[in-house]
Amino acid sequence: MSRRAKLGSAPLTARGLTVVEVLVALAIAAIVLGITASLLSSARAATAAQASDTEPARVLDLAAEILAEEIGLAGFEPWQLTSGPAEPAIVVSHTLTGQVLTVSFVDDRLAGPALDRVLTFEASEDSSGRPQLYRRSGTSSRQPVVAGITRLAVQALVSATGVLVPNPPPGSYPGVRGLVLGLREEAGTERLVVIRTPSSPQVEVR
Amino acid sequence: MTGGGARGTVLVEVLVAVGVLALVLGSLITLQVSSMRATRSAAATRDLAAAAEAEATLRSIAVDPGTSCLVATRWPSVSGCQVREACANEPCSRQLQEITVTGAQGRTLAVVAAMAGAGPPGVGEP
Repeated sequence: MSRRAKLGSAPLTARGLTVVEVLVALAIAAIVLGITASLLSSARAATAAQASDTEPARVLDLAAEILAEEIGLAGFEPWQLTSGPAEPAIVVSHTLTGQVLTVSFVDDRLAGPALDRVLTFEASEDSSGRPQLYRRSGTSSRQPVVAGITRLAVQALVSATGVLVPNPPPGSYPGVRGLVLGLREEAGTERLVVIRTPSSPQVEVR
Repeated sequence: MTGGGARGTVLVEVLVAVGVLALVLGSLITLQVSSMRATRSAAATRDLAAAAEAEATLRSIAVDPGTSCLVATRWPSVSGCQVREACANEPCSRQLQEITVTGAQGRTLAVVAAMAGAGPPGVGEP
């Protein structure tokens, strides 16, 4: 009996792949991988484009949330145990890049005694020229809180009588019910923020 | 090791493997595309919600704001805005407003809010 006959009863089924079969398989795999790579590449490009589309909205949402939380506290004084917030509780000053908002309230959000808090918000550029939304507490140095905000301005206020005053001229507005702020992101996207002021603070526009 | 276990792979098996690989990759790409579509849809809905919420907030503190939208149409993604006023109870001591904002592709979102001057819940009710 020959060696070939000893190794298997079906020598054709054990022959493996021919060169042609391997080449065909490699060609098919290459085509599949090529299509997949091009799809993945376009998917990555689309993801990057989507991220750049949603980034301005995300930046504006974040800035709006921060501003709404702290400006909404203007004039707040929980138990009248302190000297109270400064009057007017909101001061709007004009700058080259928009406006500066100074907000006063009594802060009882943290553990410990309530604090008279004076916060200043403004949109300005940092040392590298990148626009930032800055927040300053008292006389301390300003801190960037949201990058990419180029403009902050009061677009309107709701007076004590509930009248909407667009672009409020300089003056004093007692008992303000709310503010409409305009924000602009560095890509040019704008967003309005409507902020209720439950403590009805006095607003001074300078 | 002899016999069928050592026979290697035939072309059909390789083709099946490549087909399975293609199916898996295709599924992954489909997932990616649907994820991106969902993200875009969520962003559009969030934008509409922000516009409607801002409109509702402003109208809840302004007296007699009228029936045209005040700020919602300033959102780039908002193509239309409607306000409908309704009574919350029979003697109409409490008034509500329904703000409906319309975005791209006809997507709409409605918010119901109390109007300024409306009393706290229960006021004016028998």
